[in-house]
Amino acid sequence: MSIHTETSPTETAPDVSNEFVRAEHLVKDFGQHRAVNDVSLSVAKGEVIALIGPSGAGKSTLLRCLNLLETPSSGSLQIAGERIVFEGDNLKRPQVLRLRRHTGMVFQSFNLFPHLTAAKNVALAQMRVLGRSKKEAMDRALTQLDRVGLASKADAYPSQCSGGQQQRIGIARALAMDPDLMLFDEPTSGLDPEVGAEILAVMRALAGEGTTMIIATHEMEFARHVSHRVVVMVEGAIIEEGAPEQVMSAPTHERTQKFLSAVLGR
Amino acid sequence: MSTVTPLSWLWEWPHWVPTLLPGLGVALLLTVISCGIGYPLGFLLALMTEARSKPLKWTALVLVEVGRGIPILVLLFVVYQGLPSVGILFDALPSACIAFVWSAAAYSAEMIRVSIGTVPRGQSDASYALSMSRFDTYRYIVLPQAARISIPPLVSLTITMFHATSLASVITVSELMHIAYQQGAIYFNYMTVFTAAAVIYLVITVPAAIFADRLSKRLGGVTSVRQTAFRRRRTPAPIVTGI
Repeated sequence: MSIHTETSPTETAPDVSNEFVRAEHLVKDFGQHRAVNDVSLSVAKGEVIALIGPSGAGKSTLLRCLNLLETPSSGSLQIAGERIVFEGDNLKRPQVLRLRRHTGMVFQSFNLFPHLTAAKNVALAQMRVLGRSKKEAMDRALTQLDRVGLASKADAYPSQCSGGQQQRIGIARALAMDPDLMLFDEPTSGLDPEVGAEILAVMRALAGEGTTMIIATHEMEFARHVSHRVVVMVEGAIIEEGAPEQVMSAPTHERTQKFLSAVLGR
Repeated sequence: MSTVTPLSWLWEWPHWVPTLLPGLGVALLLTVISCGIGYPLGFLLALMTEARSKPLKWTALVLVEVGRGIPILVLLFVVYQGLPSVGILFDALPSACIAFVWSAAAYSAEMIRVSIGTVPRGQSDASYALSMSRFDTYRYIVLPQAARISIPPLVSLTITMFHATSLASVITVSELMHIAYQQGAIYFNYMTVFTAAAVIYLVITVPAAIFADRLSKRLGGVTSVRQTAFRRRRTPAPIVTGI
């Protein structure tokens, strides 16, 4: 299973009736600031969603609400049939961990563990969370590193890897947990455009394999060609969503038009 | 001993070294006890100050702030001469141990707490995102990185604690300074004996300080947690305004 395939995911449209994630009326407040404002979103199994919008629009916070790194202030979230309604401090730890188990996250700043080698970065959670033996976890770590083209870096520390390599290790680390949903938080924003292209190639291949993904990104071309659906967020709210061609070429919302013209330089 | 002339201490001090050596033993013993027990306690206190339970947190904060806020000399007097008046009696050496352990625990707690705080937030985020428990996140991600950061200051604190053991002389613990003072008083040659004592302190602390410096450079070098966390190349995300 090589990652370097060139299938276009848009050819294999997901079955939208097969809903996997359903967020309803999600709200996240930080003090006076409402970072996520009444967001409802559903994602089908195998769907690739590009989350676009200006900086500070709440894209990251929305992603962090979906894996409960942030606890939403209100609303509800259902992943793989399990539903949590957020009201006050009602979250139970086991519930959080169960829901989170379905997700994997890739960060803008990689967040690799600097004191562990690449292979151990990928193996640790497998051992601690999934209870895999050290041997099995390391074997799978090597498989995942190979998948992102970095088997040769297995024994390297993050500080010995380039930014692009670190991000690919970050992807391998998330994939090793066999997530059903991958969350990408601006995975290429911290990288040179050329290096970013490596990462995008890996993500394109994942999309081709039918991985369910939500990608917060500023890469408009990537959003247009790889995603099944583009979601536009402004000031914490989703203002428009639809097929990439429709949103990118003929946005209905005035603010989407403004945003796209600013970001695409038209 | 020979007659005391204004400069005779310059060559006579080595004669006093053997007399003082047992005192060095006591000083080292006090250092080992105060740090050996104090640092693990400091670690516990550091964790307690971060605890969500209010009573735990406040107990730890009081112990740390009192331990740091009161001079060690005062702690020594309180334990050795103050507590007996409320019916608690310790010998000189145990009194010194209690005071030094408290002090070492309080200072190290603060260092360890700061080190834990230095580990970037993204590290625990990444760990939690992998469904790791809070305990595992601390055990495998945060603490190993914090340990690396806190080792150089803890080595420096150990040197400071070794210095501080000289204070125990005032409550009659027969460590290095106590013996030196007694000998000086008996023979009325303070300068000679204190020079010998000073040399003994230096023989321990100068190599220790060099070691601490090297260690801190090494830990701050290639494998530095801080460096790797921030060294990545960053092109800022395009900031799109006008909406």
